[in-house]
Amino acid sequence: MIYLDSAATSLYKPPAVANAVLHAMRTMASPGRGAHRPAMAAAELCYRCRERAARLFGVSEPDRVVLTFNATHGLNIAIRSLVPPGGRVLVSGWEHNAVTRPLYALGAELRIVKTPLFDRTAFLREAARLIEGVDAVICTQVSNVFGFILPIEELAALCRAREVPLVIDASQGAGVLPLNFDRLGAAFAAMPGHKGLMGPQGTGLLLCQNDARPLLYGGSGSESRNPDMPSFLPDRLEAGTPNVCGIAGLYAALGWLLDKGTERVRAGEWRLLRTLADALAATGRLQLFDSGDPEAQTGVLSVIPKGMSCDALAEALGTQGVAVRSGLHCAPLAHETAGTLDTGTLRFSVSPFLSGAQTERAAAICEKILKSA
Amino acid sequence: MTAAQRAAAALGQGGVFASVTKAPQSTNPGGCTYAVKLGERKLQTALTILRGAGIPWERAYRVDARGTLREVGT
Repeated sequence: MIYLDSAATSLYKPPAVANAVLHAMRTMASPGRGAHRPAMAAAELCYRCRERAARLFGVSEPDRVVLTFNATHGLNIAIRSLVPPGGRVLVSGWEHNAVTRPLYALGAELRIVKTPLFDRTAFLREAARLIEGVDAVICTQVSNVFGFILPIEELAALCRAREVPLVIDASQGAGVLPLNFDRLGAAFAAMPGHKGLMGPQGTGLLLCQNDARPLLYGGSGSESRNPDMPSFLPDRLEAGTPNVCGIAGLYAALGWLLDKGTERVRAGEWRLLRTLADALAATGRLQLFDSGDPEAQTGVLSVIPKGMSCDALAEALGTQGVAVRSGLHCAPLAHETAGTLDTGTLRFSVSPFLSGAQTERAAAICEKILKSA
Repeated sequence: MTAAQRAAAALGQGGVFASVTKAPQSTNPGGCTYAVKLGERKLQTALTILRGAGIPWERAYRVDARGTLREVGT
C-alpha cells in the first residue's frame, strides 16, 4: 500500500503511538474520577499532554489547552462562543464544512474572501476590505483540498488591529507549520490529533485565549454541586469521559513531533511533493494545482485527470495499492472558489512516513492507468 | 484538577515535592475538587513559589494521622 491520503488521516504513525494507546488501555481509568492509581495515572497523562501541546503551540498555561474529540468539536465550541445567531463572520473561500456548517446552522451572514488560489497578497487585501463590522474571523491555516497556506500571521495582525476575534482552523497545518498561539493573539485554534499531529482518531485540541461557552454539558469531575459547568478551563469545555487511550497516543505523537521539529517535517514533505508533482506533470494527462512555492503550499496536491473522472482514477489507483481521495473533500466552498465544484479533484497528500521511491511508484502507476484509459 | 496539576508542576520545578490528591469533601461544599499535598515544613516556600508563578490557591489545611483537617493561615 502506498498511502497518499494523510490529509484525511495519518495512517503510518510513530511506533510509540500504538504502544502508548495499548499501555493506557491496560493501566488507566479516567481523570478526575477518583483518586486511585489508575485514575491519577490518566489525570497525569492528560496534564502532560496539555503541557506538550502548550509547548508545541506557544500557549503559556496548559489549562488553556482543551482536549477535544476532533477539530470539528473544537470549531463548534469556538463558533458557538463567538458568533451570535445571525451574526456576521468573515471566512476564507477555502473553508471546510467543519467551519461552514456550524455557521449555516446559526444563520450567520458569511463574508467570504474569494481570491485566486495560492495568492496570499490578494487574500489579505480582500480580507482587509471585508473585515469591518464582523463578529469574528474564521480562517483555515491550510486548505485541505489544495494545500494552500493562508497568511495567518498577517491575518492575525489585521484582526488584532481591528479588535476582531480570530478562530484558526489548524486542521491541516498542525504538525507541519509553526503556530505560536499566544503571539498570534487568536481567540481559538482548533485541530485534530489524527492528521499532522500523528495521533489517533477521536482526539483533538482546542487552544483558548480566554473564556468559552460549553458545547456539551455533563460531568467534569469537578464542582459537582454546581448546576452549570465549572467556570474555569479546561473543565468548562470537557464534559464527559475523555478518550484517555487516544490522548495517550496523542501524547506520544506530540513527543515525536517535538523531537523531530515541524520544520524538518515540512521540508521532508515538500521534497516528496516535488517528486510527485514533477512526475505527475510529466504524464501530460493531468491538470495540477501546483504552486511550485513552499511558502504557499504544504504536502497536498490536487489534480484533475484529462479524459477520465477523478473518482474513476481514484478507484483504479486504489485497486493497484495507491490510496488517494477524490471528490469534494468536505469542502465545497473551496471548490467553488477554485472553480472545481463540478468535477471535484483527486487529492494526493504525503506524510513523513512515505519515501521518495513510493511517490515515484505512485506516479508511475497513475501514468499507466491514464495511458490505458 | 488541571489547576492542582499546574501547581504541583510549579512546585516540583521549585524543588518542593507535591502530589495531586482528591480534596476531602468537607473542604469544598461545591463538590469534587483536587488539591496538592506536601510536607508542612515546606508550606511557606510552596506559597512563595505559587505566588511567583501566578497560580492562585484557596486554602491550606493540616492533615493529622487520623485524617482530621485543620485550616492553617497562609
